[in-house]
Amino acid sequence: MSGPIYTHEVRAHKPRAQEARGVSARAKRGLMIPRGIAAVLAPGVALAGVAALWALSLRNIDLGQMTDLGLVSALPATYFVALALLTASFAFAVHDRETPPWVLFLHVVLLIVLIHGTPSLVYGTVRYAWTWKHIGMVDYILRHGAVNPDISALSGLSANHNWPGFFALSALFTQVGGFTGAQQFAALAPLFFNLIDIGPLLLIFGAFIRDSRLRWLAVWTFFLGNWVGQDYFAPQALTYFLFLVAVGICLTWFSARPRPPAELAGRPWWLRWPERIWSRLDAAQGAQDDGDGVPRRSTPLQRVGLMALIVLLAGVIASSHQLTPFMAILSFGALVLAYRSSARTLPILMAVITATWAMYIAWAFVGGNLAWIIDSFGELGRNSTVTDVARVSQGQALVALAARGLTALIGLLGFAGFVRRWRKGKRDLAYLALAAAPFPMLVANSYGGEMMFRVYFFALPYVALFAAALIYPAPGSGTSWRAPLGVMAVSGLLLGGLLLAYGGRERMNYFTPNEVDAATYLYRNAPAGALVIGASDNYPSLFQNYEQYTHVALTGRTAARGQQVTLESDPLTFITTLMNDDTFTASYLIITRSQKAQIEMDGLLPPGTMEHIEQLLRRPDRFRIIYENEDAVIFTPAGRPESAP
Amino acid sequence: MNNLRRPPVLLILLAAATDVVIGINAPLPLRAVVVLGFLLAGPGLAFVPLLRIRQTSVEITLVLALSLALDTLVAEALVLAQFWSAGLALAVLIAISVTGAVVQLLAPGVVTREVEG
Repeated sequence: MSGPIYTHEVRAHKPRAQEARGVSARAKRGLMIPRGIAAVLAPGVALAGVAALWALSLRNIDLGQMTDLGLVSALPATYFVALALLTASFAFAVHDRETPPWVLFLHVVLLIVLIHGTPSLVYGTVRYAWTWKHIGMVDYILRHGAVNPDISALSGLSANHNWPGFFALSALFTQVGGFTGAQQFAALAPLFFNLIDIGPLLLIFGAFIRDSRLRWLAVWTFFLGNWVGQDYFAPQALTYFLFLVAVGICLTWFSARPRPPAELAGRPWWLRWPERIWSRLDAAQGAQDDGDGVPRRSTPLQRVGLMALIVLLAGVIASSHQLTPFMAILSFGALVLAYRSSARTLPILMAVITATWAMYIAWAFVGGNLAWIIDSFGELGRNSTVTDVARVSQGQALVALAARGLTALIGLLGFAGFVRRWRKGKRDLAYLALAAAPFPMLVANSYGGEMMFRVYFFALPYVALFAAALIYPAPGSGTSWRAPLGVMAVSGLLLGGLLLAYGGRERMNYFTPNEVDAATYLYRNAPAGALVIGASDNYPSLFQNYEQYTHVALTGRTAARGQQVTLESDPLTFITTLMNDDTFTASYLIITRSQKAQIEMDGLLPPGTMEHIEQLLRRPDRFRIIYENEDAVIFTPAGRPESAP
Repeated sequence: MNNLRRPPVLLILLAAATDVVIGINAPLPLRAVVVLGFLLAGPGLAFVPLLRIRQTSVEITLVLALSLALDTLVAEALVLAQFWSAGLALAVLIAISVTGAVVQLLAPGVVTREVEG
């Protein structure tokens, strides 16, 4: 155990004041820049340099050069120099206790802008296929003024009709903001959601961590480790922000600690012992406490107001997303079980709100999917699947390995940082409980094969805090020149992983203006009741009048089982039969550059198969091309004149 | 002039500006900035200052969270009730915001005394 808390600050104050007077006198004589100005000037110059280099990079990004490694393969050297300069500047700025918070804030903002703003600004189109589907959901609300919870699961968006909060909000933004559609602002969603997450992260870390270096390094590390891409135009991004705010309020104003053993006498053993164990862990913490478990001073009415806010956030979370409410129940529950929250009924309240929504509003979806929800419970192996690197392209195998490496690195750094803080006498049991809270969801459900990523996402803030604690474990530690070098080295490693893991699928996530034009043409001209077939479901789809069409894909996630075998053996017969189904008023097959990229990257068909199929479709006796540009082509059966727009 | 610095007065002005840009059907950039500015800050500014938190970064976070939460709940309620009207949703949010602003103006100390945030 090292010295008492804030020792370094007590030691530092007096000499600092004397030093400041001396510095001030020298500054008056024009010999030296005052300390406060220097703390802003150097990072200010660096940030201006970063911004200039980044702006220069934007003009030199050639998206046509993008390989299977994603956006990183199309970025010019100046972009990497900008990132390196930003990292170095942040490392020294965070190390200097004189650096004002707004300077550190600007560093984090620039990091987010460089990582998440670059695609938004360079592409000129909305990226990621699911974004377009969500735009379609907003379009549905704007046209119908309602949702349809009973809509067929075949529509692909039935869950969104049952948890419509985010889409109703987006419809409101679209209409009162004067936009013609959500596609006019959806591209900026990753930038927006990452930026607004800074606030709640600081609230969470500020609850117990008094060392500003650790708080800001934790925020920085969070954004370096956030590769899972749940920041696009989707309910998850909104509810994640609200969830973080709710957790932050809980930690800041409703934290608690277990009672000392003497106060537990007379309670039943099954209530006494758990609290006693937690209490003993706390006792070992002693004077080294960094503030853990001490709620901020507040009035009863303040607490009422803040609890009302949490309940309001809980309501929005429960009505907007399927997964986040369960993460909230587990997180609030973990805090209560670890005796870190005085809001002991909050997990129950969250569970009641969640169950009420599921049973009374979203039952159409829950009832219809109950069988597989129950089926996947307890299937840990099935719920934790990862990319089969043997099946995907070489570049994608590297991207998958980078994602795993980044996850493992953050986890290892977090573990090491936690141990280092423990040895300094800091238990951080609230953060530990919150980091562990999402993991039971791995047993509960596969969430479409994404559960592992979501668990990582929800544990990340606290793991990032522990990872940052490896360098700044306590206020008096990490004072040597090695600390900023450590920040630079770790940040460099994480950035390398992030650029590959987050942007590694951009060859398929990016849609060229030509592809968007083709999809727009299709939805403008296809009659209601038409069948829309995609080579895969990775294209701008469902964004307009989506419920009027039936959408299927030849390959990928939504393709029927067994379909691929038939497609590969006799594609012409298979597609001809599919497209001549008289159940539909017309039928169209769209093949785009990004679909081909996905098929190739994910190994959905043997190499060259899609190109071969496209050549077969170009036979004029069976199919007609109704639209074609450099990146997309739309076919319709030659014998169905009603399909002609 | 001092009053202009107070959140309730600013909020009422923001609400009025929102009403005006929609009323005159202002062009997109101006309309989007004013209206989205109101939606992201207005409803939260109506109530968060009553908590007297006095820590700007925390206040901004809570204002944003409360604004997004209220926007979502109002819009969602109208959608679920099959009574959707963006204008009505905005009117409700303006009413909520102005109510909060008036409470702040009339009874600035009624909810809480100033406490360290």
